[in-house]
Amino acid sequence: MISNSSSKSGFKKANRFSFLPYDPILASSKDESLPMFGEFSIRPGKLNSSLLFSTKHSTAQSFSTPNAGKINHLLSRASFGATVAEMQSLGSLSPNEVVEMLLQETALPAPPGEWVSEPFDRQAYRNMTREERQAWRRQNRQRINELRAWWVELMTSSPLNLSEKMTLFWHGHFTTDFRSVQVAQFLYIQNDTLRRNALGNFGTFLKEIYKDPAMLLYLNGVQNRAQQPNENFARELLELFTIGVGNYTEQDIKEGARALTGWQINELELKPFLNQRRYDDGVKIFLGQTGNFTADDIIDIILEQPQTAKFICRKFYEFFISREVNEGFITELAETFRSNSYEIKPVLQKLFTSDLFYSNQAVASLIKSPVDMAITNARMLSVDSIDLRYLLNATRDLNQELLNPPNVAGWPGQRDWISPTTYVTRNTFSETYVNGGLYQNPNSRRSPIEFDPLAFAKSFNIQEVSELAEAMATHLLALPVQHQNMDFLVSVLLGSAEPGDWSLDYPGADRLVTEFLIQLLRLPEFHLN
Amino acid sequence: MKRRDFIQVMLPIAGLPIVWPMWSFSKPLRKLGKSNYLVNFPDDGRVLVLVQCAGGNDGLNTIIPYTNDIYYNERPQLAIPESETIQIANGLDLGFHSAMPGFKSLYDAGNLGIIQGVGYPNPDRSHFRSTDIWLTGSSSDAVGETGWLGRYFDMLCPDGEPCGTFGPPAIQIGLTSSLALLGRQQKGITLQNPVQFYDLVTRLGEGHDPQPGTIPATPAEHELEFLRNTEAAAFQFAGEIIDAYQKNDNQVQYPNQSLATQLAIVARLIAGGLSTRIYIVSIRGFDTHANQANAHANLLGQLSTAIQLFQQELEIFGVADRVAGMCFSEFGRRVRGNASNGTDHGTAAPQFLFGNPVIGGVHGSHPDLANLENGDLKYQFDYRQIYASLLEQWLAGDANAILGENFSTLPLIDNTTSVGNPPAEIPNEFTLNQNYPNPFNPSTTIEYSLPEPADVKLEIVNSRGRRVALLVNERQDKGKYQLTWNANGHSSGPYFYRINAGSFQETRRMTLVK
Repeated sequence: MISNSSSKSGFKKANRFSFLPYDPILASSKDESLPMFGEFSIRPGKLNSSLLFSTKHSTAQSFSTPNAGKINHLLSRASFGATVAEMQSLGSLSPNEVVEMLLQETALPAPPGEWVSEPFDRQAYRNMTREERQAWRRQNRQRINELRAWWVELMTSSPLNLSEKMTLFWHGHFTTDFRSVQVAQFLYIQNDTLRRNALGNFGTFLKEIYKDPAMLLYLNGVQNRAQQPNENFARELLELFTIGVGNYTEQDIKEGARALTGWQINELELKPFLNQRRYDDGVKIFLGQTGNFTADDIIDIILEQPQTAKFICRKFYEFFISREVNEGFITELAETFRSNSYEIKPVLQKLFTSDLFYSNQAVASLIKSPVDMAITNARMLSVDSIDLRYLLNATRDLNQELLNPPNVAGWPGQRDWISPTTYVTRNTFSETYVNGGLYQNPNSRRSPIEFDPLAFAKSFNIQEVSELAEAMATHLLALPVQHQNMDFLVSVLLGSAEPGDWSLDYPGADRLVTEFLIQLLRLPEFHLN
Repeated sequence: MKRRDFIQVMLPIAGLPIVWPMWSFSKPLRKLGKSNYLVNFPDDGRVLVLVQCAGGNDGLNTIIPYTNDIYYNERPQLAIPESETIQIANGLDLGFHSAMPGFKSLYDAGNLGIIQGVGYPNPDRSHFRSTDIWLTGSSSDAVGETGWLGRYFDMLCPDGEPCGTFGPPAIQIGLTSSLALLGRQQKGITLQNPVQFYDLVTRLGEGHDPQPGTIPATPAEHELEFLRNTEAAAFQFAGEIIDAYQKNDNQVQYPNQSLATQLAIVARLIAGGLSTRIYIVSIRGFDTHANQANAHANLLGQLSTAIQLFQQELEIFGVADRVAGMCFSEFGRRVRGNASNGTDHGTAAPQFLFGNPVIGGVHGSHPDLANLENGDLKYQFDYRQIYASLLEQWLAGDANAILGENFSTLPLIDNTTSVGNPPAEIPNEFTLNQNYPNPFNPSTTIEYSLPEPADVKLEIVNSRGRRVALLVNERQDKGKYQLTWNANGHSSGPYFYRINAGSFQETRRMTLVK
C-alpha cells in the first residue's frame, strides 16, 4: 500500500522557491479520502493553489500577455501544466526565467515503500508451494501498482517538473516491461535510475543502463555470456538507444554483444555484478576501433559517433517541439550536446529558450499522451483530489500503461494515440474531471475526482462573462478557439442571463461553469498540447 | 454534428427480419468532408468473425482421441471416457467433448471445419507472447508491430481512403482494441455494445464541424484536421452502427453468457447491413492449470452453444452465406496432466472454422501422441496457413504480402457458395470500379455495374495494347457484377482492363507484381 505518510516524507524538498514544498494537506487527508479508492488519492489543486500562492493577481491580463502564453506552452511541454494560481504567479516572469527554474536541481523522492530494498530470493520462490507463489505474485502485483501510483503522484506534484517529464521520456526510450522483469524491486530500481539521470549526463546514464537489472532481464543481458552471446541488448543499444539504424553493421552488434557479456544480477542484493567467467575479454572490433573493449569502452565509442548526439536530439525535438522536424535545429542541438560532453541540461536549455520552441511550428502541434492528458487535466483544472487508480486505469485503457510500453521501441505516440474509440474515450475521461462520473460508465455518479467548478472559475478573478470565458479557454487550450465556437461557449456560460446581469455568485452558476468546461473539453483542440 | 442527425436515422424496425443484406445499397448517413466512407472497398458482403479463446484451450479434451491409450495413460484424472464423448463421425475415432452438442450439429450440417494440430515453429509458451504471435501473424523469433488484419486493411484501403461503405472496417466487441487490427492506424472500432457506444459519442454533442476551405498551414493545424476527421469517423460510425443494430431484434434466445451476448450483437450488426468485414469477439478462462474438468466443460459448452445459436440466427436473417468464422486460442496444453488436476501450457491444438462458406470436416490427422517434442504435440499446420487460406479464399487479400512469407493454403472455404447475388438493387449508372487488391499477385477482383441490360465486353490488355484475357463477352442484365482475374502465367507489370457496355466505355489500370 502506498500510504500518504510515506509519500509525504518522500517528496521533493523545497528548492529555492520556497512556495513549492509538498502539500501537508495530503498527509492529513486520509479521513477525507474517497470511499472507493481512498488510499491512492491526491490533491494537486489544493496543493499549489490554496497554500502556495497567497498573492492574488487581479485580472485576466496574466492570462493574455505574450509571456503568459509562452509560459503556459512551456509548462505543458516541459512539465505537466500549471494550475490557475501557479500561472498567476509564474506568468509574470519571463520564459527564460522559468526555464532556469525548470532546470534547478531537485531532491530525489523517497521510495514508494520499504519493499524496494527487499532481497529477491529466486531459490526460495522456486521452492514455494503453489499457494505461496500465488501470494507472492499477488503482493508483487500490488507493489507494481504502488510504484505506478507513486510515480504519477510525483508527476502531479509541481508546476516545475521537468525531471518527472524527462523520467517519462526516458521510460519511453530505455523501455522496460513489467511482464519480462516481473520483480517489482527491479522495476523500481530502473525507475530510480531514469530519474537520477533524467537531466544528468547521457554517457553516465548509458553506463548505468546496460547493467540495470530490469534491462538485463528485459533484453536478455543476463543470458549474454562469452560461451553463448545474446545480441538482444547490443542490437537495441545501437538501433534504438543511441546511434540509430544505418550507422552500424551486424558485425558491430556481435562485437558489441561480446563486450557486454558477463553481467548478471545478484538478486539478493538487487545489484548487478560482472561474472568474469562469463565475460569475453578478447579483442573486439567495434565501430572501426580495435581493442580489448569492456562494456564501458563501447559506450565511450558510441558517444564518439556524431550520429548518437543527433539521434537523441531528434527524439528530444519530437518529444518537446514537433513531429515535423527542422533538421538544422537538430544539428545545432546535437552540437551543443557533444560540446557539453553529453550533458542533457544545456541541450534542453537551448531547446526551451529557442524561438522555434515558441513558434507556430511548435505550439499545439503535439497530441497529448494519455499520461500527459491525465496529469495536465488535474493540474490545469486545479482539481481538489483525484484517485490515482482511476487515473492509471484510464491511461492503461487509452493505451499507455506505465511499465508496459508496447515494445522495446516505446510508445510511437502522436497520432497513434487516436482512433475513433480512443478519441471518444479520451473525451469522456476528460469530462469526468468536471462532471464526476466514470469514463467506463458516464452515467455513474461515483466520482473519483473532486472538483469545484465555482472555485475554479473564481480563481481567475474576472467578473465579465466573455472575458472569463476567454481566460478559461486560454488557460486550458493550446490554440485559440475559433470565433463561432467561442460565441457558443460564452452562450453556454451565460445561460439564460443577460451579459450585464451575470455573476458567479448567482445560484446555479456552478452548473453553468461545469457545462461550459464540458463543451470546452469536447473541442478537438483540447487533445493538442 | 447535431444530435438530431442521428435521431433521423434511428428508426428501429424492430422484430422484422430483413430479407436480404443491405450492404450494397447503404449510403453514408452524413456527408462529412473527407469522411464519407465510400469507395474502393470490396463491398461483397463477406464477413469473418474471429472468436478468441483466451488462455490456451486444451485441444485433447476438446477433440478427444478416445481409442488412444496414451491419452488415457498420460492424463488419468482428466481423460474423458469414450462414453462421455459425442462421436464426431463414423470411422474417425474422435469425439467432441460432451459439452459440445452444438458443434456436433454444425459439423453434421457441414458447417464446421476442424483443423488438427495447429501451431508454429519454436512455440512460445507465454500467453502474452503467443497471443501476440497469433495476432500479428509473425514467427516466434520476430516481434510483429502490426496485426495481420491491420495489414490486410492497409493494403485494401490506401491511406486516407475509406474502408467500407457503411460502418467501420472492423468491429471488436470488448474494451480494448486488438493488436490484430492495428495497421498503420487502428482499424477497428471497439465497443461493448452499440447503444453504449452511441451514447458515448453523442454525449460529445454539438459544435465543431470542420471549417470548410481552411488549408492546414502549421503542424498544429495538421493535427487538428486529423483530430476532426477522427471525430467525424466516430460520429459517423456510431450512427451507422446503431442504425444497423436497431434494424432487427435478435431472433433466437441466447443464454446470458458473455460470448453469446457478444455474438448476439454481431449477428444484428451483420444483418443490419454494415459493410464491416471483420468482427472480433472473445471468451476467456481457458488457462486451466487446476481442477480443469468442470471449468473446461463449462467453457466448451458456452463456446459451442453460442456459435450454434449464432449460426442459427444468421440463417434466419438470411445472411449465413456471407459469414465465416474462426475460433482460435494461443496454444494448446501439455499432453500429461499436472498434479492439480489441470494442464499446463502446451503447443499445437485443433482450431475451428464455422459457417456456411467453410468446408466442413476434419482437416489433417489427429496429433501423434507417441511422437512428442519435450512432452508437447508437434504442430501439423502453421496457424498462418489458416490465415493465408482465409485471406485468399475468403477475404480477397494478398496473403504473401500480408504474412510476409508464402504459406501453403488449405481448402477451407467453399467458393462455390454464392455470397453475393446482391439483391435486385439497381445501380443508377454504369461504373467500372478500381480492382482490388492492387497491386496484386496472382489474382484480383474487378467490379462493375449496369443500370440497364447491355452487351458487355470486359477484356484485359497488357501495356503494349495486346489483349491477354477476355473475361466477359455476353449480354447481361442490369445489376452489380464482380469477377476475379487470375494472372498466373503473365509477367509483372501494368495491365489495363476495359469495359464496353452499350455506349459506356471505361479503362482502368492495374499492376501485377510477382
